[in-house]
Amino acid sequence: MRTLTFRHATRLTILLASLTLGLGFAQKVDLSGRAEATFGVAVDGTLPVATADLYLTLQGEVGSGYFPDAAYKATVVAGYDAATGDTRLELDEAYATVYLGQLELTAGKLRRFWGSTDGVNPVDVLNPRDLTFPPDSEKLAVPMLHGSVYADDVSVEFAVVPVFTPARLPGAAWRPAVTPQLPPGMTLVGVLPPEDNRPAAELGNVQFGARGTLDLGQFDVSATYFHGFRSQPTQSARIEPTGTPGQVRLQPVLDYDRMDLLGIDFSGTVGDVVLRGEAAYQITGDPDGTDPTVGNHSLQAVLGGEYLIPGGPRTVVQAIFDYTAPDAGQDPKTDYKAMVAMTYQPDARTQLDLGWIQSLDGSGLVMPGVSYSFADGVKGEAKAYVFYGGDGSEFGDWRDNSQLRVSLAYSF
Amino acid sequence: MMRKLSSPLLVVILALVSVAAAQKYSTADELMDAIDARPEPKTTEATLTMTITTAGGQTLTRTLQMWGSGDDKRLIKFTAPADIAGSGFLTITQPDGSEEKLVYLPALDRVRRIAGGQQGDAFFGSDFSYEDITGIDPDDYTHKLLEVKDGPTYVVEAVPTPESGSVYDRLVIEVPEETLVPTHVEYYRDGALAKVLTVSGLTEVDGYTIATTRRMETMADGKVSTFTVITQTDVKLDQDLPDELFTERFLRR
Repeated sequence: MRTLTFRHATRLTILLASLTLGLGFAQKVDLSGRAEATFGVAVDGTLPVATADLYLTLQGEVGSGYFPDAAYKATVVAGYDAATGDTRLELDEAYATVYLGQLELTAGKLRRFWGSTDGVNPVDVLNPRDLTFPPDSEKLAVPMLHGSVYADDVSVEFAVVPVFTPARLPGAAWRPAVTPQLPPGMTLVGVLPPEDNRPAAELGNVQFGARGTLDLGQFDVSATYFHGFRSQPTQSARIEPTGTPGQVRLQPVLDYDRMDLLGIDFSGTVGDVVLRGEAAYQITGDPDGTDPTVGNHSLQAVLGGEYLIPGGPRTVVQAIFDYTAPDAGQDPKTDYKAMVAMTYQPDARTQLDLGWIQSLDGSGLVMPGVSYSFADGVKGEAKAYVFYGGDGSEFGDWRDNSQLRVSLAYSF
Repeated sequence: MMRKLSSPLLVVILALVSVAAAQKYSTADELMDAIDARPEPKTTEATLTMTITTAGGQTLTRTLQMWGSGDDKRLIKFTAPADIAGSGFLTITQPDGSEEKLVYLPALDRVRRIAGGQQGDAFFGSDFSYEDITGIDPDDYTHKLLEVKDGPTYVVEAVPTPESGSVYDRLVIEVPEETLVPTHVEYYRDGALAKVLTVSGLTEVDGYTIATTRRMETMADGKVSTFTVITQTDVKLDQDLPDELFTERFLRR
């Protein structure tokens, strides 16, 4: 996690002041924010999180009308986590949009969502994820030029991501233990810091993508193409000698695979059910599965439906299929999961949520939650994350990370 | 010798004749045709304040901006409080009569479709459902005149057709002849009174009769459990609203 430095603070202060003063000619300016405190406790008695965060957002418009000449938005986040001692001051999103008739151009640090399904979105690859707390895995804003063109029932989006930003990796508690195969007579005496081979900021590594959507009234269908890199690294390791005979150190290596993504997704209503589907195929630079530092081709597909049980919860049921092409001489990897998400509002103040992911290996994750609006803009939330399954199963290895999180937020 | 009518029966007959003479419409269809013929603005823009009162008497207040074009298109965007500001709801009636309903949730940056079966769901936690907010085409109901009260005020039963997708069994609607604006609606679901809508604050704007206040009560065991009041201000009628307003693009903006 980044730490607050005087240089960062000064830059952000100047930025906000510039936005506030320099955009004084804007016809509509709004300052809003959110103060939030989160406290967590895990089943093993540790406190994984004890944060206080402040989000400040400045946004406004230049020009008038329903589609003004331009709009801008900037959000700064300041936070402190007492559980880890980390302090942060970050520029979250900061972008400007210009409206040129049917064309919208947005440039800055931003997030954009692509896809149709819930929770798992194979085509949503523009933004890397913050995997510090994997069950939530929020998206990270990245520098991007994004455009949208609208014409009747068709819209086309394009995005250029000039500089690669990797996913924020999970903390130690979320990483599986690695036991390397050592040559006979060798003893492992240490692990070196990871060698991070992220793509350099150069023209050849610019990422870009396009997405077209056809609105058919009760259905919409989208096709997506993206050329870039996987934001989560392919991890490998090599043995490094120490100078002492028989003693070696492990050198983890993080490589980010170049990939081309082809995706398709849809949503539509059939009677009382909303159907959603999404699939993406990732083509990497290792079609034969012979390079251990490059991930293989993969496919992820999600298909599901949403239904409001009369007098009961809004319920989403989805099936998730994963396929990874095999390494040379091995079988491909396939995986099936089921996901259920339910939301119910017994009254205006209370919302009950339940998320459940079940893997075919018998492991899974259950996430019951409740939120309550104490007053306008004041909301409290309690949510449990319960992992179950045997050793070596997809979710079972994280049993000790089961935890309860409680938060209170004030939006203004 | 002519038989002499008993006096109570005479009173009833005279009353019926009196009402029949005073009322303008003799059937529900005539009344609905008159309501349908009432001049309606081509477009509507208004600021709405929605106050939700819980069973415990506490209140939550939301402000919204609403745009409408005829009966076919409506867009609602929340402007406060901050935690739901930017959320929106767009409904478009297609030429074939089907409805496209979209909800935008800025926290997720997602536009989500709503299916017909979900129109009974609460509209952002209020006592109004999506169906109550958007309404259903009068052609999707069969109407029957139940009675005519003093005023005269017509009491009409409206039974939704199976094709309408309505979550209600029937509605009982009171319509004063003077305004032809429904002022009291009882919504029955599974045979029981589920909700009561009271419309008030009728006012003239640009020659149209506009209701500025709508109160929806949710009933439980015959009593009001919770209620939501929506008031309209800054009403602008017959403005030139661009078609781009009723699009997913503007819903997200």
